[in-house]
Amino acid sequence: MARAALELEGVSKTFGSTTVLTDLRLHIQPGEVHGLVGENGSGKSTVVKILAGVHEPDPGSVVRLHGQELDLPVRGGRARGIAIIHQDLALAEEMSVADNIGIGVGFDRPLVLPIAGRRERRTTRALLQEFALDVSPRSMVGSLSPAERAVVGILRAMRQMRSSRGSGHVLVLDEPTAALPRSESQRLLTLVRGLARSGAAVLFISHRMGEVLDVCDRITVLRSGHRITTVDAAAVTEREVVTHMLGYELEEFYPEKHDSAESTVGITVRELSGGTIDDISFSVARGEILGITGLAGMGQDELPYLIVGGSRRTAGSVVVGETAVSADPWKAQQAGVSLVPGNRTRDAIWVEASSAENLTLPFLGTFFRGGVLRKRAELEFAARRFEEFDVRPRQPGRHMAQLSGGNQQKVVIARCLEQQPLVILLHEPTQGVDAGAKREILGLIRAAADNGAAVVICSSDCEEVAETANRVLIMGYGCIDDELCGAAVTESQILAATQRAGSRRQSIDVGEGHGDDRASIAEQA
Amino acid sequence: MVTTAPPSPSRPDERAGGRRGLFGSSDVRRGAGGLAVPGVLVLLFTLFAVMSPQIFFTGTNLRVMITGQAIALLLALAATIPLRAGDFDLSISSVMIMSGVIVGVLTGHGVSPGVAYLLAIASGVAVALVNALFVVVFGIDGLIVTLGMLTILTGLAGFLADNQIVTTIPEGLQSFVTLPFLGLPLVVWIGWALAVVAWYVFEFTPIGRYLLFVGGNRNSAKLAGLRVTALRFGAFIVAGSLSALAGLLLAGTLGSIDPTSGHAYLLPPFTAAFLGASAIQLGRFNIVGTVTGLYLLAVGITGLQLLGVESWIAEVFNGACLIIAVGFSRLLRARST
Repeated sequence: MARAALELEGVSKTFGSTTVLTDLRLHIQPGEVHGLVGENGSGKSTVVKILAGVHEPDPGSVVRLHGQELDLPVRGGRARGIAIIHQDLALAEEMSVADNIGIGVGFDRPLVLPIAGRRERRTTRALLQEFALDVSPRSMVGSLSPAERAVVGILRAMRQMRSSRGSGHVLVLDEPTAALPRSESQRLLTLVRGLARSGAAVLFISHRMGEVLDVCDRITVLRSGHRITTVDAAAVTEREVVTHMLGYELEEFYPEKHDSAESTVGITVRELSGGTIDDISFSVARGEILGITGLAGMGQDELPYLIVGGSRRTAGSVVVGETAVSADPWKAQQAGVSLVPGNRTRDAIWVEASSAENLTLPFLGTFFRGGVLRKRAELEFAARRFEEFDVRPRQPGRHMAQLSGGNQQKVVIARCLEQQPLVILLHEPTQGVDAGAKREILGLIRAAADNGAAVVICSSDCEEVAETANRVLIMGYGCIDDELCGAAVTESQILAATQRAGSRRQSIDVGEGHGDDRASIAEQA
Repeated sequence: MVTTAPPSPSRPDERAGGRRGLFGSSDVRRGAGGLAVPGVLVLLFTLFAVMSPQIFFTGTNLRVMITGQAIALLLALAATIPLRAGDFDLSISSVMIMSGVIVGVLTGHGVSPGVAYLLAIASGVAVALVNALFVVVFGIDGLIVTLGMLTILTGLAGFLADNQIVTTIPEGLQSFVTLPFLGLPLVVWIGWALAVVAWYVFEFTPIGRYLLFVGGNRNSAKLAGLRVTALRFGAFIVAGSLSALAGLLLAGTLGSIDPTSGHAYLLPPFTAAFLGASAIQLGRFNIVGTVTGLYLLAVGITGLQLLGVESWIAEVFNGACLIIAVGFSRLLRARST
């Protein structure tokens, strides 16, 4: 076997008394796509941060690049040919594709000279063609689809690596597809394979097991900072990998689905408009789980916020039980609507508060007795809930920032359920959450529906929607394009319906209208 | 729930114990770092007491120092409240001057003192409403809006006072404010009482926590169902009322109001608040921190002046402390996450 492009030997990382990575051994060959999987908090991001030079590994750790040992912490990784692409791509939306790609290498110009615009566009065009991305170098990044942006992010890294001194290249992709709908992530995966064929060594980190199995040659499984195994992707099943990750067998990935819809209506949405949403009406019965999905930017990502009044409502009404609810999140909450936002750190929690403070926020008043906030009672309550919802670490005084994404999400779900809402609105409830936590969260949602809540799940994960929802609405360009019920709720039918919904407008009015949609989609994304 | 628990890197069930203190037990930011500002206060105080036992460490000097900070304390409270909710209100010092000028001018025109006080306070509320309208409803940067308001009010105060020092302050106000109680004038006790009220609201009522979340992550607070607009309006209005009240007390303390004297009061309240946010509870604007910060400034400046440094030191010290305080809390936060 050729000499590995990237070798980690005996890499450990300790924070205080906590060891988050123990004696990791990881070899990636040139031309290989190597998957790194594990639950939240298993040490994946620590590996990325060590390679990025953010963390200094413990003494005794060895990192070799093409056989050459690197000084630790890793410095100037980029110049040596290591490129790390984070989920947040750090692209400038108001600038063109060529500018975004060129800035990574300083436009190959001395600082004081003007940028050679034509040459830049030519270089960019060549790169775009090489990786079959059909966009103009002059396009604004803000007008691209999420998948196209991800590709631009990777191309920037490619150009940086090519201008570096390093021989072969190492590309680290940290959850590159997490924000992409499945239909679009395929394009990215094709690009990743292409990069590997051209000789790059790729470390691919993702929660989406199907993609990992598809795109990777070998997979290393981490659990609690230990390398459990490294396997050939062709020789394992998804279930085997998940079992390695969890350390026990996950019996059923999704909770049992059954129809518990009652005859009473929980929430009715009438002729609702706002943002890209245009005149939407539907109702959800108590006990029912309604899935709402579609291709990226079709409006399902805006709907939950529009319903509670977090974004501007231009027309329509929302009725919970018998009462109309005006567009104000506070009034929605008073009426019994609870929202679990998709962008956790931006819309759901405050990372600098403790996990207990995040948990109790909407019902803090219940701890205000005798003129004093009973903080001890609050902490004890939080400790009990963390036990019940298996939030780790259990200490409710811990900073929210110190919890992994999955555990943060459990806190948000616990907060939502604690209010015993009549209506639960969930936006991407399991995004960035590991397999074990995902199953728990979906189980809790199912249980809430069984107890009489009307549940709406807005998600771009067709599989999740298919496995949990009793009924599915397909969004297309801000409208409800299709509805699937009963036996028709399957992943393949949902996928097909979303594709149909997405192509409908294009076939009617090609050109201007389509461009506008692109722009407005980009705005909200 | 999953019954077979996967191994976890953290040590299990190390419960947060019932640490009880000034802030109950749920605060996450109480590390050694939070004691730096109080520590510096004690250090400076001891240092000056040792270096200048005959002047600095005397009852008279302490009394003068505390009395001199009475008005600044009210303004520091007024600065801290919107800051906790994530908003700057730079106009507080100008509201104070304007309120004092209104009292003096109205009294000079024969209006009864009671009406003059009410109108002065009302002017503070009115300014706060305009500030809040632009900042909260129209979403314009609070720093810009209140900086503009500061300039406008400074001009208006000059106009109302005809660019003269206003000396027609009601006698009753002057004797009330300077009434000695337990060796200190009443204005000091008023400031401390209001500080205790603000401390209680911040630490022991849900409103204090709500303000904190609104300041920490406005989106999350809004979507979690907090009445963000009402809370931010409320913070502005309380700040405006406190500043207007400070204007009354200032007029009473001095017996006159100089409409151009506002700039000396502009920065210290914010320096105190930011020092406070790097004290006691890191990253959180809190009352004990603000009060500690304020007295740290007073001790530092008085001490240096008594040691013979000229009066320019006040401004240098204030400005330097502001920068250091913000830098310091940034550093501590970066380390703790």
